[in-house]
Amino acid sequence: MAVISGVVVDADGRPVPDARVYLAAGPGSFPDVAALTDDEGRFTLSAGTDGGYTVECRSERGGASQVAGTAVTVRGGSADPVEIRLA
Amino acid sequence: MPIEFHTAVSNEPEEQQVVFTAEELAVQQPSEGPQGDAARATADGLENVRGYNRPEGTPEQLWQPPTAVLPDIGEASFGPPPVAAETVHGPDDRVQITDTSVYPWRVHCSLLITAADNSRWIGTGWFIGPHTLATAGHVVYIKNSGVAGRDGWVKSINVMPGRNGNTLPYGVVTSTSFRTVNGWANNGDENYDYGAIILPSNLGNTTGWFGFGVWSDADLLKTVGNISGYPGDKPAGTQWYDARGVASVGPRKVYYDIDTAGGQSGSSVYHFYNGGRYGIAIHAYGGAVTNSGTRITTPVYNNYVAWKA
Repeated sequence: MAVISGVVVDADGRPVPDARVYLAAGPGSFPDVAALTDDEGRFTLSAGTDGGYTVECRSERGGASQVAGTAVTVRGGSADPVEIRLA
Repeated sequence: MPIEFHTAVSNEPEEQQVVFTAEELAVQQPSEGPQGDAARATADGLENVRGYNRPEGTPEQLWQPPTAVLPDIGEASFGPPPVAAETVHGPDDRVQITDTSVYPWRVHCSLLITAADNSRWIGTGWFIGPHTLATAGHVVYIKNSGVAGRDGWVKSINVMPGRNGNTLPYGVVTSTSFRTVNGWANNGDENYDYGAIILPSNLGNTTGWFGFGVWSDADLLKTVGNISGYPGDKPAGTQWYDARGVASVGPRKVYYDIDTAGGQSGSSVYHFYNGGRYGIAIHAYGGAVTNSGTRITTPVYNNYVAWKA
């Protein structure tokens, strides 16, 4: 099982805890859960098969609702860590 | 059919489990609970929700290529991603439910899950009895995560019935008692991805619950599937509803184009029968063109009957 890991940061590069991170697109079916980022903004999601995934996150930190996302490619069962930056 | 895949497993010692021996029933009845008047359905099998209009046409006619444009730093490293599926297909038809203390909306529960490695997740569950919620197997038992220390029974789940953002009309109940089946816990087979959360109180007597039952392929293919749950792509802890016709069925799965997002695993896929609301599947996966849930077949039904005892 491949793991998509990364960190969610704000516009200033500070980690965002409690952001909801989930797969929005992928090459096959995937569990429809969402991870919450830890105190350092980190998350790890599981990806079943190689291919292109879209990882999205949403956070209301600071009172403003923000959504961001990124594309991730899983090859050979692994993917490079990603950084998702909320505007 | 490998019935042993439906053998129930629990995170509790065997002597603490309830053994169900009653005769098999085809349908379990819903309860609307004692508080207030329940929202009524429309004549075509939909919830009567302001602002919601069922899309016209077949699932094939309604599908549109994904149009969402997202900030894409991945393309800088990997190039454009290949064509992929999205859990919101075409126009996003979901509408927010704000009167979540009214039946049926109070049956749906926002879940905060703490996994074995202390990672936290969100999901959805729904009352099927006074102290039992149906949900996805992967909500209560994490399998094949690829992360050290994460797989296995989750540590705890905070259950928030009828949550509406920061408003918790029925408070929070923490459960550490879970159920799933062999086919999920030991085999990781998504055809058996269903489970249950057992509460330490009978809060379902207040919220009410949905019925559930086993229906034929023909019946399911002409029914409207309704889903309400707690997606992570909407404001935190808000409940969202959508409905569409069932697109296709398999022996153990139901497929549909009802819009969902991460956080809605475990939601009820339900329809109306004799004026009541009955689960036909447990939503579990986003996927190519359609999303899908674990179909309530006779073995699934029997386990849920046992787990709600």
